[in-house]
Amino acid sequence: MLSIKKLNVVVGDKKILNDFNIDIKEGEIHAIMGPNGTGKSTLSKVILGNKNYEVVSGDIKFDGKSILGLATDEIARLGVFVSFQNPISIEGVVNSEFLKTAINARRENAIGLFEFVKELEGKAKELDYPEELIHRGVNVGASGGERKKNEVLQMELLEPKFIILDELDSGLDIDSLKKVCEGINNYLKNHPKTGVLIITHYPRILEYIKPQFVHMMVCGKIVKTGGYDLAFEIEKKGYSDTSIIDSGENNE
Amino acid sequence: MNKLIVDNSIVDSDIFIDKDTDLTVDLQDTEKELNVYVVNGTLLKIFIKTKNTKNKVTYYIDDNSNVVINKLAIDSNDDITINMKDINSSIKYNSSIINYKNNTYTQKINHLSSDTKSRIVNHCINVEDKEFKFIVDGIINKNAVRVDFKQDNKIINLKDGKSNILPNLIVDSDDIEAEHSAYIGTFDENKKFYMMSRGLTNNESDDLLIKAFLLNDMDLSEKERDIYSAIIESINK
Repeated sequence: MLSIKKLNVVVGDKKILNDFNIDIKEGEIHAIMGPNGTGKSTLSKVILGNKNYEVVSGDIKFDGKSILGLATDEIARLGVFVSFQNPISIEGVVNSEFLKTAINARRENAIGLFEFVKELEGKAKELDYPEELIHRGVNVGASGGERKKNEVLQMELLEPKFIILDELDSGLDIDSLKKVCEGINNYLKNHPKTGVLIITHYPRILEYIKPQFVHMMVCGKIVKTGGYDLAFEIEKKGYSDTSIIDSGENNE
Repeated sequence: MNKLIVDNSIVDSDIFIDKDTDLTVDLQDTEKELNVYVVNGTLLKIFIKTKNTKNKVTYYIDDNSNVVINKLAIDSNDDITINMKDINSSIKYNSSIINYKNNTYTQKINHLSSDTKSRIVNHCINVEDKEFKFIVDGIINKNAVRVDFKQDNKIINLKDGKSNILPNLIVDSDDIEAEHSAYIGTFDENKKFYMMSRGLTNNESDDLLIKAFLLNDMDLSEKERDIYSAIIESINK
């Protein structure tokens, strides 16, 4: 599904990703944990083709084909979805109109108004996403938690094949986190081939969306790969304890 | 509400508004001179669409009158003067311009009396590589106190257009509140990235941002919004 090989990425003179490798197959859930500034969020933007980052070498393949050089919208329409850490607000662009345009960008025939409204209102209700926010500018006046719910609402409506959850738990209280994770788990139950990459500092979210693989990322590269338990070992010892890297299976 | 329509058939004239009125203005390829007198205590709402015009319009607003103007114009060289003649008068004037040629849009707001209020919002999409200029003068007379004046001017260049804003504020009085702002540039790349990350093409993202930019500050009925939206959707990028 998603395969990244020896990816090197710079911004100006600064190297952000350093020989980065990862392989995520259909239906697998992976988590990347790492300290601030290690390039985790950059990774999601690079996968989406953000032009602010320069790929110096390496490749990103999705479903066997390189997506380097594709425009962001082309990558999105292939089925890649990123739930952003800090979803921005767009004043004047009505949320429902934005969502409808995004759905239609994936379809040959435009979605009917009745079908769209039914789908949108049903999914918003499941997420406890306030109805009035559907008719406002995208994320305008929305709290951090409401913005994250809007990300998951978009995900459910756009039905991606591969999902990146970038710091999903930041800005969410425990009840909202549970609700949002419940929505994602329902989606994965109904779309079992979906690949997932969770980017996080803390293992809390991994208690709700359980990964099969956990990667520890430091200085732009994965330094250790393990199972679910690795997340709690990292939490216990911290990112600076090199004994984690020295012990057991290593991605390199 | 009284309803009035002004179209190309109007000759240069004075228009007197002495009761609450909805005025619809639809002008194309015109070069007219119009004076609009808003008599005291009157509400005037104006819905304007114009194309390729060079009109000179002067408003005279009496005490306790409120004027709300929404205007969508393609290629406007209009020259607008607003005279806030008497106390407790207010105006909210939203001008949204779609520009393809070399044009200058001029507004002069004269606060001649105390307790007057104006909200001026000028937005332009400069579509091609032509020159567009906003000249907006806010003048507060020395005898006018407790005046509340705000103007906001923005131009978005879709290509390599040469855009200019001259936001002048001439204040000859104390005890007033005044603000003016000017922005020339492109749409926020972060917003476009976010929209494209959901699968919208560059053009689809631009379409939504343009509509938001031109209509967001306007208080429109559904029918009026549909009319403006249809014009905006015809923008040839």
